[in-house]
Amino acid sequence: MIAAPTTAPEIRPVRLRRITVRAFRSYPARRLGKAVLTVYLVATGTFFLVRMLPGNPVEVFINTQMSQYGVSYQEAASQAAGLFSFDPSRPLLVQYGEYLAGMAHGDFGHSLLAPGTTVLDIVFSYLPWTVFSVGLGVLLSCGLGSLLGMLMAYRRGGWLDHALSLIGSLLHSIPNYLLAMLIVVFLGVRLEILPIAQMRGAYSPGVTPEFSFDFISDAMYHASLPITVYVLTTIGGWMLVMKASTVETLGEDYVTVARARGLPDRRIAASYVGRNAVLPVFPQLAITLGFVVGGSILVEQVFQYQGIGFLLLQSVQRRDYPVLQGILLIVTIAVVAANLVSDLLYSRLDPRVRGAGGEGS
Amino acid sequence: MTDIHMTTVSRRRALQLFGGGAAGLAFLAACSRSSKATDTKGSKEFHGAWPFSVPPKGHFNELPGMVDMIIGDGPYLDLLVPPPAMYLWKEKTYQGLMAESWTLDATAKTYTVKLRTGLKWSDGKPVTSKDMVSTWWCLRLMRNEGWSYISKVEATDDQTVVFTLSNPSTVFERYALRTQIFSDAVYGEWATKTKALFDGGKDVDSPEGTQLNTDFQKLRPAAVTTSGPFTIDVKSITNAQLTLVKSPTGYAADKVDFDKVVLYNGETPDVTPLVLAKNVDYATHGFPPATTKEFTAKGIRILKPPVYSGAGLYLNLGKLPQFKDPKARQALAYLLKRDEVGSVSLGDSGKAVKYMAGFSDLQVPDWLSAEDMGKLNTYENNAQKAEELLTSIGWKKSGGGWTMADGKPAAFDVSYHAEYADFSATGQNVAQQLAAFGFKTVGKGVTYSQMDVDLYKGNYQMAIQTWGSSKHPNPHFAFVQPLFTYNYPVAANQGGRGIDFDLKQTTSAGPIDFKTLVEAAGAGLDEATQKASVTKVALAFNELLPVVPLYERYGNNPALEGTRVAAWPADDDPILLNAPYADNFTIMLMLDGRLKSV
Repeated sequence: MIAAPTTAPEIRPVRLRRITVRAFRSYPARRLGKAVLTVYLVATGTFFLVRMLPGNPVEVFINTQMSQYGVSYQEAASQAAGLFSFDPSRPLLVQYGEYLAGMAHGDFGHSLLAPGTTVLDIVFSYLPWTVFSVGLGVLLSCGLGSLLGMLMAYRRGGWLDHALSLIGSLLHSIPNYLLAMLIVVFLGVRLEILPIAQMRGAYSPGVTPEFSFDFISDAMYHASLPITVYVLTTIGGWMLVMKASTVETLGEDYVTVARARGLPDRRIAASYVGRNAVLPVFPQLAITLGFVVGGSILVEQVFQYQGIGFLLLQSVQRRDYPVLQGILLIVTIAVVAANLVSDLLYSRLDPRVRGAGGEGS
Repeated sequence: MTDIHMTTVSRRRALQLFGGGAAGLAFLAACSRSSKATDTKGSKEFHGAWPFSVPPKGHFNELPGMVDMIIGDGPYLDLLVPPPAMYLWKEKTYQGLMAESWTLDATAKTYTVKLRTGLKWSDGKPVTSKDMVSTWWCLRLMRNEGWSYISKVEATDDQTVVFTLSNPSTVFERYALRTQIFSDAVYGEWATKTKALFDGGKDVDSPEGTQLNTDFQKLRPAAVTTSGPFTIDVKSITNAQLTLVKSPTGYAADKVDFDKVVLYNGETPDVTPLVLAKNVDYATHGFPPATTKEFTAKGIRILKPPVYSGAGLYLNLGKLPQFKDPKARQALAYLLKRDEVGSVSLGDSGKAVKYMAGFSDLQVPDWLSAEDMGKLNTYENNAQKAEELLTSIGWKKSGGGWTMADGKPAAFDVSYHAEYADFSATGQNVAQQLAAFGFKTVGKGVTYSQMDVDLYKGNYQMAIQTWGSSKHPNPHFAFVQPLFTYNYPVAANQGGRGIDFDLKQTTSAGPIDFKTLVEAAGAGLDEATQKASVTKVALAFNELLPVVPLYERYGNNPALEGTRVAAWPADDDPILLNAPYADNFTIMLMLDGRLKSV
């Protein structure tokens, strides 16, 4: 008891250090560290890559004014001088330093072509529509695809399996923008089944975005075509992955044991087969959600849907560096975050991952 | 044993099925158009198309020089804020809109514009000369080219604006009359600040000027204060479309026969299905020939207004010194079938250039006398003549191929904008024709943004690019394009020499300085003096061919008749000679009340 006051301060830092070291070595901390590093590397790569695109914003502006609007070079150059605060001749490293400093403060800068408008304002006026349409599309596709995949596995070798495999493979091989164009041309123009002029955009003219059934219903009406395209062009992949996984799971000993125990087929399908077969689908879902932007670029263009892909395409065409960087970085963060959450959740779903990753060590 | 056994339907299963079905029905019911959506039926509508950005990118600071202003860069802006006047390209006169009269005083070196009385803004205020003066001060802040001709702008009374010419030129008339007038209530504050800046001896390049310019560009009015027959229904703006609604007090509101103008957002591929589905009455987009055929098959009329520009073959003389001899360039003009190139590129809308004068064939009779026109070589297709010209300068044909005077084989790349359907077809056809003649030629598609850079930097051998001017009727602007812009005077700004064509040349008529003559073609107040300069440049251009004009582009404007619009004028109506991107005839017809609804 006498020695306690003298020994306690020596023991506490050691324990604290051990806890700290353990925390930093833990699976979540290591995954978080990797995620931050990935974001930094992508941010740096993005910064330099966008500047390697042919033509800087000033040149592209001048050339566009001349080629599209027929204005003279002098006039276009004069407009550009009045318009752009961007100076392409500034040292790249100085621009990079400012970019990193801004990013650290959550400041992604202002659009070069819409002075006074922040990148975040622009991105967040487009991003929710993509998250809504592509997110819903991916979830529907994954859900339906998984159910159909299980069904195919249970009925493997039958006509249903063959028919669904054929349809799934066929749909999976069609690029989404091509299907979007086919829908517009055949269902909209040739057969006049769809009122394509009405269905373009994210919501109807005269409607104010608000949290009401009327608005959600209207947004669903406009998103139905992009969602249909996303579902149809991705469902085949989910079906085939889930079928393969289910078939493999059905051969596991614990399924045989469950059957031997006389458990009902539905319980085996849901609790024994489904839960285990869905494991490979789960990380793929997280990654797919992260890549919502890449898959939406041309589909949003075809349907004139106000999504981030539409904005990305415009920003690339006009070399709006800050907006371009902002979109790519936000998308990167989304992908990395989705992967991180997926990894962390997966380690909960499958304890072997934690064990292998050394969480317990 | 792997099959799911379908046994009798239990109550739980039945409830699940009903629940699932109800959820599915609810989901489907959720996908319906809002009842609050703007109903466009029952009113007299006009449907057009133009690309725009929605807020916060898109905005209503519509002053020329801004970017992403909603429809501010297209013809429909004239329905919101009409300019003092618009040009009739056939008659070569201006038709007054906001302006009642305009006069040039050559002695006093002033240009006076008198506005109509009784005009009102959409906010109820009267349109006065103060609005025009404020507009011009804001234009100065945006470095508008119009200010390179004037030193002062002032209102002498409520309706009269006087410009003092510092660099007198007939060209200024277009800036004075064709620039829209914006509301002083919105722009007056900025005009005052700009005037104070210049009165203080500073300009827009000073730190104060730069800051003022930067601040001005952040100006985001809540809506456009309009003086024309329409105003933007801000609530109607979506990424897909917007609606212009009638402004009863606006200019010509009583004449315009439409209550609403619906504008669909999008570039050519986005708008094409809407035109085919007959949702669009008129569009100025660059539709390719195959699409135009589809329009025609659907019963949609195609209007073909001249654009006063087209595609030409640019030769980089820095990389191909063998073409420095004009005879080599003349040989190209003889051997290329220009009608074929035009037809392949734009169908009936690509018309072979006849006069090869450096500006539109339609304008040549206006600027050159009959005698001078007779001196122009029309370079009728003649492969034999081309061979003679090349042989005369030391080129040799052996077997199926040619060797140049320096003994090297005649092998060239023809670069073109890969994404532009018309230029792609042009580049490929030119390459094929040259190959058929015996040159080893390959078409080379380059992404459009890189192609523009390459044209300045001279990173090409042969290239397809625009010649002519679709915005200004004075040939000076057409000459500037090949001789200055894509040649070393302007290309030097981007570190290149473009076509690298020496502006001091010798023709059969003697030495010529293109720089001096082209500048003189657009300078001064005496049109006869300008014509003399235009004639000299045209004749020299025709002989030396700094670029080889191939075809002149005519619009492929779909015009749907009988659905919402009764009819457009007949094809031979003079108004259809108006350049669609400069003084759009549909807008003028609407303002005149000549374009009727069904």
